Amino acid sequence: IVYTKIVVMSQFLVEPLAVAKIVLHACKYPHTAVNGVLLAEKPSPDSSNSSSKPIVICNTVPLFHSNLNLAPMLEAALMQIEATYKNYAIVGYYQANELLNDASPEGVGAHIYQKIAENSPLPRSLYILVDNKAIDRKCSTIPLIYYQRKEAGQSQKLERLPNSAVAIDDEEDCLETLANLLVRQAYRSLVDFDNHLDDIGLDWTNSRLAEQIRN
Amino acid sequence: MDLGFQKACAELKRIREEGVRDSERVVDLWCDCVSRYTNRLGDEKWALYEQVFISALDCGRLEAADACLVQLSRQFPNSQRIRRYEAMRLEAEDNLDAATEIYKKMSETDKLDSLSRKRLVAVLKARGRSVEAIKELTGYLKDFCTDFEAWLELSELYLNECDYKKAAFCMEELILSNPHHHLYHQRYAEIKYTEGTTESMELAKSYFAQAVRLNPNNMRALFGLLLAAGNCASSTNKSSTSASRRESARLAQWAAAQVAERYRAAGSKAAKFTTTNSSNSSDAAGSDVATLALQLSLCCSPTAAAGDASSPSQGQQQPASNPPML
Repeated sequence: IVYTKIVVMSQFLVEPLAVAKIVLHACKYPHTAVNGVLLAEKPSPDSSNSSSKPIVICNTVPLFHSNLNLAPMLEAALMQIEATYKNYAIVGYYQANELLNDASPEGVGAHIYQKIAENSPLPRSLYILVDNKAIDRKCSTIPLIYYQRKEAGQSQKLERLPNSAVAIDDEEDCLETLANLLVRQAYRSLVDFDNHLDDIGLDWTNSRLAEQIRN
Repeated sequence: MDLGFQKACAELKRIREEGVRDSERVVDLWCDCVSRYTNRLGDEKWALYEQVFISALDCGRLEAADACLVQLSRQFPNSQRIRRYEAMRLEAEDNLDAATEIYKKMSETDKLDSLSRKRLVAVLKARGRSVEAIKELTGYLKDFCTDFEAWLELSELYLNECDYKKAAFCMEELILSNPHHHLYHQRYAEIKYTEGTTESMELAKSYFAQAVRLNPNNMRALFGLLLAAGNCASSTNKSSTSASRRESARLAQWAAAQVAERYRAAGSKAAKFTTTNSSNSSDAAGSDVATLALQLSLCCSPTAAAGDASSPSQGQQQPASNPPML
């Protein structure tokens, strides 16, 4: 990670792997809503919990592409994630809405995000909404919109974060990688938790895809 | 892609028969392997044109769609079906008003035209007007009450509005007509689980169990049974007896063992076909889940319930019940 001035001043830093998996998941199922969770390294117990350093979102787990608002499979998935990724914590949530023009983070997604935020060991949690209209094969911009819950008060409302609050690690390279992945239709090999439940031989950690993306 | 003509046609046929929504693949196969050789196709040509047309609309590949529509209109002039396809073409261009006009006219002229009425629902859904879509669909179901696809769609529309009771009602209609279909029992159980009350959790447990009985390999039903039985076993509600809690705990343990068994089988299968690295990871993942499943079921013993103040999902009608983070 290159700690440029932009990175240091932001609240979150999202790594290319996370960005890629979110966009690929949305592209795999353009006709339905999809969602998933964001992972970051668990803070070591002796490190000072300084809220000034950006929280690094290094990976995601794509969850579902149907019936996002049913609880049991969500619970099963979250338990499996916690059991598998012992050194990582769930620190956020992402969603791509079903309709092209629907840019609202509210609804079931917001509810899931609130629960995640309550249980996260890190001081801040991120909600990433995919900007459906901004996805295109040329990948000129990162098609993501960021939200966070308001800390003060009991309000469940989400507030939109300015793009400066969330930095993408090595953004140009990330966009190039994303464009390559879309051209190669790499989303066809992405496995989300729904796919895994249909065939448990499929690897929902997407380790092979991660290797491809890193190279 | 360089699939031969025959193989491409076979794959297109498979996609058509299974009803899978893989529109991008259909259009790619068509453009790369089949479209130049349509003279070699027999009567399946027309089914293929239809399939490619709809898939092309799905992907926004309007030139391919138009090419197919031209052929279809030539072969079947004055056809209601083609008229409906023309309306769908308008939908794809986001010209929803014109499309709605056509569908309304068609359904007024022919009272038995179920497909146009369903397209009206689809247009309302595309506009984001889900309440109107629900109203239109319930009207449709009064006339066509055996349309299972429509009941499923209505259930999903209700779920999007977080109206769990009505969504469950739709699934009840489906279960009544198809009592042996494991997916309906499983979906019903998921809705009941999400409702979160004690009674609905008991119902969820029963329906997950029934789904497992109908299809022992339904992983969602197994996981659901494990979680629902676990919740019932640790329920602090006055109405649950210790006998029923013990029963639930036993069910949870059985479900956990089933889940563990499936993961072990999947892990060993993966080991045969993959390199050592990934087989280790899937084995490890498999045994992780197996251990987790058994741990979960042990937590569900009635003695654990005694000191458990915060039971998950108690009487809350919220979209996602509190995930028990371990």
